[in-house]
Amino acid sequence: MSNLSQDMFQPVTVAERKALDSERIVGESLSFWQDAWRRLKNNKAAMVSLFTVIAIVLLAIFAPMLSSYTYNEMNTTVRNQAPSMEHWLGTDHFGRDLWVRVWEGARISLFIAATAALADLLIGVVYGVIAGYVGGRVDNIMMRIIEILVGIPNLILIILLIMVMGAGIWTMILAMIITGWVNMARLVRGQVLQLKNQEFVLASRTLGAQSRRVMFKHLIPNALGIIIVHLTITIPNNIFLEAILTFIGIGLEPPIASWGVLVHEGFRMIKLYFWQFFFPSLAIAITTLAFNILGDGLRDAFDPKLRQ
Amino acid sequence: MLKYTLKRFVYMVMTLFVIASITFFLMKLLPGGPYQNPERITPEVKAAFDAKYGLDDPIPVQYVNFIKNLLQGDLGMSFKYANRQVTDIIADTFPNSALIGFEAVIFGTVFGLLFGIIAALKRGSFIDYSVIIIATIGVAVPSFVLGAILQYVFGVQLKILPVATWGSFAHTVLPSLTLGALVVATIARLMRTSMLDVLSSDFLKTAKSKGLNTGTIIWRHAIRNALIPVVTILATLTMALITGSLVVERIFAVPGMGDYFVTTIYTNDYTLTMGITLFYSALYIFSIFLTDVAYGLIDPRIRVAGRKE
Repeated sequence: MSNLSQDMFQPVTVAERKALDSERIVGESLSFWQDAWRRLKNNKAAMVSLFTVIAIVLLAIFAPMLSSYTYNEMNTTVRNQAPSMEHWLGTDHFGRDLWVRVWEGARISLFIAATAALADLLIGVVYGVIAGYVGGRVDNIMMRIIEILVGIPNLILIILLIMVMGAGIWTMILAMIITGWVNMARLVRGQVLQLKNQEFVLASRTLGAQSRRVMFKHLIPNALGIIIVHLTITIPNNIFLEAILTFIGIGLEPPIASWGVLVHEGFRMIKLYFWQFFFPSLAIAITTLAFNILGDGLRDAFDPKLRQ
Repeated sequence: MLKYTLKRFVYMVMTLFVIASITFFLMKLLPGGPYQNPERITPEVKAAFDAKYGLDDPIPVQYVNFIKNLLQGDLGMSFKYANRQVTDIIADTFPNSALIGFEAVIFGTVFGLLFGIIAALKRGSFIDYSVIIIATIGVAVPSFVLGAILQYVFGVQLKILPVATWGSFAHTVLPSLTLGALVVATIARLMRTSMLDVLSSDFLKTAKSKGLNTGTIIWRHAIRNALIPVVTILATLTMALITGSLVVERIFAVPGMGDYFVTTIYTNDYTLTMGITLFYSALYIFSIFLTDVAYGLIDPRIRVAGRKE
């Protein structure tokens, strides 16, 4: 240390400092969504799931159109056939093509699940934002209502509704909405409560922004990550619920060819023609698996704590 | 704490009352009556039946009677099973469902906790990934698929366990496994996350730097604290078990309450449907109540919030 002389050190001038450029931000600046997408792309399991979900949706739309069979076309000469080149997934006891029926089932099951989940989202977000943002007595009353609703077991309510309204696609959707929106509302309210006292919201209000602008510009976009994650988890749950209710015999009924109906019909033939049960079950399992893994991946991608 | 518990209790009672009322009025809205062939019975017989079951009163009177009886623990008589009390039917069938549920919970908790703890301790290893994969698949595979596969493999192919019906412990194995799989998956996932959280916390570093041995650290400090969040899924789990029991009892022909419940829906046995609905709801609400109280006991922040009000 002692052989370091004073003249080896020189003060840095302002000009030199500017030239050094040490304060420049090197990494390109990413928006929240760009960052989330970048992190999601690094998650292989989530990306595989994303493509699986897209593939399932595309197949549900196009497979029944592109096949030479229709889902309800009976042909008694080809009953209960094993999978072959003619019928990729075999045929059922009326000689209907299972490949087309599985994708027709995907249409119905996905339609029910997604419609119910989207309606949950709409109601839940509106309810949650109002309760969380307005606060005070309004919040108190709104949360007491939710607290009572949460206590009602959703399966029971759904079964009662089906008994009263009769089984059908819309009854199923309505039942799922009635029991589902509560969770979304709680989630959004919690998020809004966290956000509304943060500096950027305060800044926006100080600058004279109206409540509506604060809600739509600041609160909802910032809660969107969690809302999307919840949506991806709700859809497979709804698919499950439809399948389970139909399986035990109180959900949808033929000639509707939802996945639940296919599984229900297949289960009766399981010992003789296991593929009639196996393929629809596989479709349900793959779909729910893909949505679940995608949901987990999205949760990680949106989580600022995991940001690198 | 007492105030918080009391408040929860009041909510529990209120929710039950709302459910009882909803159930009652929905049942009154139902199309069709409880009689299988109403056109075949004479008006006198019908009047006698109506009087016996209290159906001749106006609906508000019926409602008041219903609530009164409910408070005394009387759920009325079944329409289909002549002269049988709904409470008797529940008492007969619920133990079977409860047995399977109990076995499933034991099996699920033991293996779920074990898997979760091992996965967290061996983070990033082959074991960890296996647990994650098993847990994810366990959540995604519907119970009827798992039930059918187990039935086929152990009952039909290997012939080591009975395929269905009821009687001995062997009969309960497959239904319990089917029901327990979801429990294993849920608990393993939660325990793994919770353990990882605790393992990276400061107090664990303190414990390590004090020179405690690994066994003590993991047992006394890590696992105990990691268990806290797991307690909170009790209510969700109860609901999952109820839903699962409907499916499992159907597949394995278990004479439990779930199977009865589904049958009552086919047969329009209103009083029995209502009775079982209320019973399920009470079970679920009680589990929510327990969760809230347990959480309040464990988490000091909630204790404080409860006191403030």
